[in-house]
Amino acid sequence: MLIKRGIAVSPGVVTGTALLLGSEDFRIPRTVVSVDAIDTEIARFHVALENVCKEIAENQRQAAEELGKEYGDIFAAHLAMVRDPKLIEEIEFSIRDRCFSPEFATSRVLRHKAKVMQNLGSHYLAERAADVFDVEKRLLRHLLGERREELTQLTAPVLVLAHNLTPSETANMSREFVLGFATEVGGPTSHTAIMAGALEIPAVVGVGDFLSDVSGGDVVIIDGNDGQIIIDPDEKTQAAFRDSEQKLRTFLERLEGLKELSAETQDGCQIQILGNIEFPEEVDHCNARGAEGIGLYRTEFLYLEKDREPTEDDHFDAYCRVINAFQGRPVVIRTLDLGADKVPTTFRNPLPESSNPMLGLRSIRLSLRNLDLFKVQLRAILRAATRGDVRIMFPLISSLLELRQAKMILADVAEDLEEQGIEFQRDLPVGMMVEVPAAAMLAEEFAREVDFFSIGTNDLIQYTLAADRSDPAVANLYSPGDPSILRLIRMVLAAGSAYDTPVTVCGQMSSDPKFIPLLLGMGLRNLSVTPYIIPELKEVVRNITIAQAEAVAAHALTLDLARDVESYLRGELRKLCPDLVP
Amino acid sequence: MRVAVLQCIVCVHCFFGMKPLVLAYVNVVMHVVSKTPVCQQTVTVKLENGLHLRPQSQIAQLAQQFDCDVNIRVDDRTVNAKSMFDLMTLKAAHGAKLCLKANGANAAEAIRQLVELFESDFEIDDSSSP
Repeated sequence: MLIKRGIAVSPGVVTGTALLLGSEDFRIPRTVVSVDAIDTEIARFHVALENVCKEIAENQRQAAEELGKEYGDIFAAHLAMVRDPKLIEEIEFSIRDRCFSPEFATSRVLRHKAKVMQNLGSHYLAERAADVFDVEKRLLRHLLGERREELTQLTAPVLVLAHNLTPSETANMSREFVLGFATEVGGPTSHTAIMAGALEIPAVVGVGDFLSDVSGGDVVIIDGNDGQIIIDPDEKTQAAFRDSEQKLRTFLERLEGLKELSAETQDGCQIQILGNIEFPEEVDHCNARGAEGIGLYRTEFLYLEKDREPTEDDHFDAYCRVINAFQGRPVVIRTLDLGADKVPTTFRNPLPESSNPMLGLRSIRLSLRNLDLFKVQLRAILRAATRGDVRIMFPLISSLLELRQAKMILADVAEDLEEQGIEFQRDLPVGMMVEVPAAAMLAEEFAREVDFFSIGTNDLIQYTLAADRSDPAVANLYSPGDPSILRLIRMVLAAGSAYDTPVTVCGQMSSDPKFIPLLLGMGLRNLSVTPYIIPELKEVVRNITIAQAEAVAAHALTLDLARDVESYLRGELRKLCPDLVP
Repeated sequence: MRVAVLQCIVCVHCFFGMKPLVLAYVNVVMHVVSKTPVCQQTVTVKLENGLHLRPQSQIAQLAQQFDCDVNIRVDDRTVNAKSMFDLMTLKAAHGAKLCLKANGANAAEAIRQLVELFESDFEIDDSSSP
């Protein structure tokens, strides 16, 4: 049993079999074989072994010819490894005596050997572990042959363990079979984190090196509450986790009871709680939790799911699914919010490499530079908007000029639709994300030109404090409770109320129960949050009065340090809803 | 220069087949325990970088061709010479003394060829071997 700590990014605990990505692209479909099949399985192992030997010998010959003898020598070493009689004996033993499948036995034995090398304290030997992984990959490829299972073709539930998940990997995986994620790198705002939140499955990121300690098929527990993963847990640990899973479920079931009740403070003030979604499928999560609408529909996945640029109809169909599921309730569609580095190159103009992508050509800037791409999305939104209460939102607005440009293009697109006689929604409410400090500072000016604001706290905090939350060296600087952040939010709320422009907070800050009293006290009445947290937030809202919330906000705004703000808010939440504070 | 030879019927061809030059460097011990021939010899690592990946795989490749057991002892650690993984974890820097020991059919021939490999500084072209 091995316990590794990381950052908890999506709650819940799950036990399952590991699927490793990155260092190997194979999923080991079964870990055990029946006793009668042992001889056939051992024979199968030997066939694979023989084929691997041939393949390596061929690689050796080619490498020696084309690159020189020293390159061929690397494969000679690999060949010596797969012909190692002790290795073969060990694998055979695992199959015969433990009934392991050849794939599982191979992976386990080789990974153990790699581990031993890494632990011998020699840099040279630690590097040789990479050779062992290469040999493992080869053997698995031959063993699995045609039966190799792709991430897109999962047939049984797995926990996905990876160095990092790319957007296209997560977008294309068979979602119903993925029970949890754990990655070596990444932070709370990483793609994996957002994806896990969207799928409502436990996830831990930033674990550090752990893939070499685990084999595909191993039993693993991902604890998204405490941010740990347990590899090969013993029976006692598994039982303890089953227990706590049960308790959590009971608690969630109690909160589920709040679903039909409205988010109303004790003194009768209605708070609007909307859901943030990534995929049309998530409307069910939102409905199940009693969301009053969709406050943030991220549309990035339309661009990542396919190899080609999404057509107007791809957009239209996805939007209609969401709109139809939320009849009579608001749906806020945010236009493309990706960096140039994330958009598939197939349909992106070649762009110079940016040395600092977070400050580069991304989000609305990218849309304004690729009008063909942008107009397709805008047309689809305008057409779909006839089906319900749709609003459009532009991300990462940093200057009035950008906002005006975006609005002008929207007007152009509407004009085109008009001329073509295509049905579309006129006077669509237009809003913007406030996630650049400049936008918060100019909130009054912006308030005159938009129909609503949505504060994206993740980016706002990152840009204001100049701290990347996924970088452990500076993550301590990143805090929603920082006095500078509270002041920026106050500016936006003040401008919103002066110009009668509604304000929503849609960043992760509003999904954290302890910030709810503060935000309500500062005058916020609309929240857009990760769906699973809605019942908890309702619990907070229903336990507080606006006067109480105002007192909390007034005190929090007098504190100098983020640390003090957070600990004060935690204390206040404990008084209001003791159950919600761990 | 010390040559100790225990008369050995099974290995007699090995004795005559061995180059006198090679014999000059090393101790050769051959004897018969019941019917199992055992052959043992000490060699010194002359490679500048010690016994690294390439010589290790050459040793394994060679040893794997024989049916007898082949072991290598450095200090107090003994590894199976046919096992690449064992060899990889062997610490044998320049100047290290290795005791090669074979036990079983063709033991003497195995040792002879291994010694030859060491003596050639692992320059024997092995690409023609299976």
